[in-house]
Amino acid sequence: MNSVISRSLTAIFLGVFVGTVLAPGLQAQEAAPADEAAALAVLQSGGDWNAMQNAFRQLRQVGTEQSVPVLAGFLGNEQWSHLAVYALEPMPIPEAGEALRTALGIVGGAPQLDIIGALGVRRDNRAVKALSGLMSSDDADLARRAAAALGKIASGDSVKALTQAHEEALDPKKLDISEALLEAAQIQVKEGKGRSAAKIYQALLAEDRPLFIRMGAFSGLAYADPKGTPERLIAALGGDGEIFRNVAVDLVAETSGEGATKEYVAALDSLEAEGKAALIHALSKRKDPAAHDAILAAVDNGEPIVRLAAIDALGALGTAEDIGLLSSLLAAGDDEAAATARNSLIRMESKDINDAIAASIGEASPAVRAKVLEVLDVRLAPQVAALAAEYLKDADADVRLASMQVLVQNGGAAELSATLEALKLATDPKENKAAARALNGVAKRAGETGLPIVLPALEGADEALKIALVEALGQVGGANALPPVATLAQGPESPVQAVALRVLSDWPTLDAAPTLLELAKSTTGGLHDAGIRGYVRLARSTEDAAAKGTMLDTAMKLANRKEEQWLVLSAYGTLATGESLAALTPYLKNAEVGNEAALAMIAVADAVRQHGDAGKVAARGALDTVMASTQDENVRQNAQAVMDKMK
Amino acid sequence: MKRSSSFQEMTRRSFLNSATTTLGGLVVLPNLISRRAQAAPSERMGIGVIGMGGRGMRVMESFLQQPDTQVRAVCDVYAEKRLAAKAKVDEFYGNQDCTAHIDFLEILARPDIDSVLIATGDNWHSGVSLMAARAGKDIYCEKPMSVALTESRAVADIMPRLGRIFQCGTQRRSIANFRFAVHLARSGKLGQLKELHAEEAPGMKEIYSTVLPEEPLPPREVFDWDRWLGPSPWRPYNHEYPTRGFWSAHVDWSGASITEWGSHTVDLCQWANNTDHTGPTEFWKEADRWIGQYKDGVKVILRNGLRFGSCPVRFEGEEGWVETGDSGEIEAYPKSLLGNKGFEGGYPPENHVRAFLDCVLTREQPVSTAEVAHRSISVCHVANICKRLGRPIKWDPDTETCIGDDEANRLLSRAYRAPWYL
Repeated sequence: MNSVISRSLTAIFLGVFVGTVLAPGLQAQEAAPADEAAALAVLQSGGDWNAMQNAFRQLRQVGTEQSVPVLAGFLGNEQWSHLAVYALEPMPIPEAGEALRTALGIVGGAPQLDIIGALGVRRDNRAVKALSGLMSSDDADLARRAAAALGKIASGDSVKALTQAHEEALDPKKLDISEALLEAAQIQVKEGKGRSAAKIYQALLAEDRPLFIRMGAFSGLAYADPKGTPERLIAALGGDGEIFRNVAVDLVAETSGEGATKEYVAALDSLEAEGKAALIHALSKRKDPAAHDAILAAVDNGEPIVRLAAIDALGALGTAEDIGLLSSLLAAGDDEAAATARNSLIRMESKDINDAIAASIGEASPAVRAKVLEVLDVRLAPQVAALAAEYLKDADADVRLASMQVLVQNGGAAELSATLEALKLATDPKENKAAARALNGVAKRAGETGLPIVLPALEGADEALKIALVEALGQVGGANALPPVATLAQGPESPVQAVALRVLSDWPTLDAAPTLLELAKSTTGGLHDAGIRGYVRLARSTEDAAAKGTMLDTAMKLANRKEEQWLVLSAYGTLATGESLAALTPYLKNAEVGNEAALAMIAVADAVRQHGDAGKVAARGALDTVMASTQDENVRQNAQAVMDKMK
Repeated sequence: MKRSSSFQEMTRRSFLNSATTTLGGLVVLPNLISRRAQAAPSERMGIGVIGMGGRGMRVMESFLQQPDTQVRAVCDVYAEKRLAAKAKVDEFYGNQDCTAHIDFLEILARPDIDSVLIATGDNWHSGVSLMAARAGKDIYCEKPMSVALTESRAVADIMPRLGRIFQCGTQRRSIANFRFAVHLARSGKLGQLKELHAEEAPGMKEIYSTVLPEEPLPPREVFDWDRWLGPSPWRPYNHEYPTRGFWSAHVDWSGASITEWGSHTVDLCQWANNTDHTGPTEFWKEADRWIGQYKDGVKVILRNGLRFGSCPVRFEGEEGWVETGDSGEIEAYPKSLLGNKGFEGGYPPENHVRAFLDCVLTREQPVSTAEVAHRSISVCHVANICKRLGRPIKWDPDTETCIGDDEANRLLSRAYRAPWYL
């Protein structure tokens, strides 16, 4: 995408915000520095809603024990209770907890739920007794919130209360408590209380608990009791529950444990094919090199699912020594294995991999050589261009084609001679076409340094080669590549002349402007058309506003047909100046080109409106002129849309 | 495709409907390709969409296009938006089956909804995610994950705890030019990383706490103000508050420029730096940039002025650099790093949505898990606190607390308003 579109994307995005942040007349209010005394004064004396809510927010940030009694006075207050909790919850002082606990037994409804939530977040162990009592409430929301808070507290006391309630409760309340126990155990694991957490998980793994609770417990147990983890995960990998097997794959990858990889590797032989494949997949995600040899051995496994898993795992764990094996699989007749091996070769990461892959090509079969080149191309291996140039002379056509394909995007000056030679030798049409494409790419990157090789080749070249060379010169561009192309373009009609004229018309650099202008002045249709098209294209692309204006003015004088005038008028739309608007205005009422002139003026107006007040004035003037002169509703709407942007 | 019994058994709701589930009842699932296959509507994964603004409508299109999903319900507090969404879904399927809800809890209560797309305002992302997880749904949630750091920590913790699949809508992790740039950084092709540049959303206001004059409350059926406010503190209604341009920089409902784009750009930096599960240890301001420095000295720099459209990033190492953005353009040094790479522009969510659905089917973890997205937005939140307090912050990414700064720590959380809870 070009930079103009890039800028447009950004502009479109910015429009979302810049245009709509605040309604007219509203001032953004930044938070004032927090001041406890001032905030307390507001709360104690009362104020309007804004002042009050602001005071609570300030105390949330800086309130001390002095603020607690005042805030406590608002707990249970229908209007302010939540903001009082909002202020008290994050205060790192015991007084805040005490105020919340006191209020817990007094208030009801939503304020009570807010307080329960805050006690949970504060992990207030002194609230356990009161919260435990609330779990038996008939109010399901209240009981659920109490259980959740106890789960967050995650102390010995809270877990004891939850466990007891869990034993006595029936679903759905039992489920709420199960979830709370899972949270308590998760917190305990983070705090290094694995033994306590493991007890919780073991209890929740009971057969009568729902699957999602058991899954949570199964996962948690892997972290709570790492010593027993490999054994449990291996059992799950070998079991018939796919979900537990998949969870186990992730856990094998994520859980640490010195020596665990050895346990997993040792278990491979004991598993059936699906479990074995899952474990290999898990080991590849674990990325412990200790599993490498076992995975390499599994490549020879008779079960396809195991074999593929092993080939895939080499992408993560393979070394340079495995390149030969993976390369040989690229063309071994097993499509799935070949695709997996290709993917693994592309994914392998250590620094010596590219060299190893490149080295493997010498011993490989032709089919493998072609695929290895492609793999190196995808890997962006720095050695791929030189290697491809070398294999342009390969006896096998597929290898030569693969080399040419690589060179299209990778070759440079160093590969130019070899590519040109390959083009000369390519007699098969498909290969000739591929070689010509390669030459284009290589010549483009070689730039002017390639001219001493390309230009002499024109001498005595046959028609097909000459066409390819002209195309290549068009990729190089610049003043030195131009003369032979210009000469051929103005020569007698022939396939080479036609290509040269097209290449000239598409010349990438301004050097071609004088030649194209001369062609545009020609009375010969083909020359004139190519000349004016190329000249306007160059004018459009130049960023020098003065040069662009001059070129477009000249082009307009030479534009004979309305289609040519459209081209020039449209290009004026890229020139954001008053001169451009002045040049366009006379054409607005022209029946044949008026719409193009109007659209160009709208484009110019859209650009100049962003250049301060003067730009806006100019833009409005241009848009008014367009709207006054046009009968076309689409044009009018476009003009109005730009006008609206200036409101 | 037949929806597997094991898939249904994963949810809390289905357990409540049939409390006899045991492992023995599981079937071996067919391979992923066949699972993706076109299925009868009743057999497809049921999708509920919560939040039907522009983003919700756009991402919903991705869900509509999948062969194995059926959007069954939409929800928005605005009547106009939810009815427009229902009309769009009904037109797509050629029936009137999609239900439209004011209250997202009605969607979460439905056993025929397996996953939800959450595309509400930022204020609700964590709250709805928590409720959805408790209801046994898998979740695709738009970014940023939270308004306060402890909210997304709660979301990150609950997902593995309840076995949920969660994909944050940081879809640039599934877009080729960004993936390639990250690959260059992670594979060492740039050398030892030094600086990771993340663009802030340009042109946004600084975070404000503006109060607007009270206006008469519209009928709930037209606009449900209390449900829009959700877990944040109550305030009198004004029609400007719920507009995108207003709430996106308001302290109660969003984190302005840093979280708006940082949720994407910092996320990519975290990924490039292989620090998806941690964060910087120090934050400070330098000129107009916000710096976070990791313990190994690598810096993440929130700034403006990068190139290539919206959400650009730039990764700099000792041996090279790469810069890319939503235009699809990419530049690198040395140029050879790019080889023949060329990319389309744009930031479509399609690949990211499909990857989420595949993970729902396989139960493998997606690329933008809740933990990963939480860590990314944490960097943004701490940078915002640093900005708000006007002083450097020392950050402990293990305990997720500001070291020696209680005032800063208090800004990491916000007390939820009942009936919502963390």
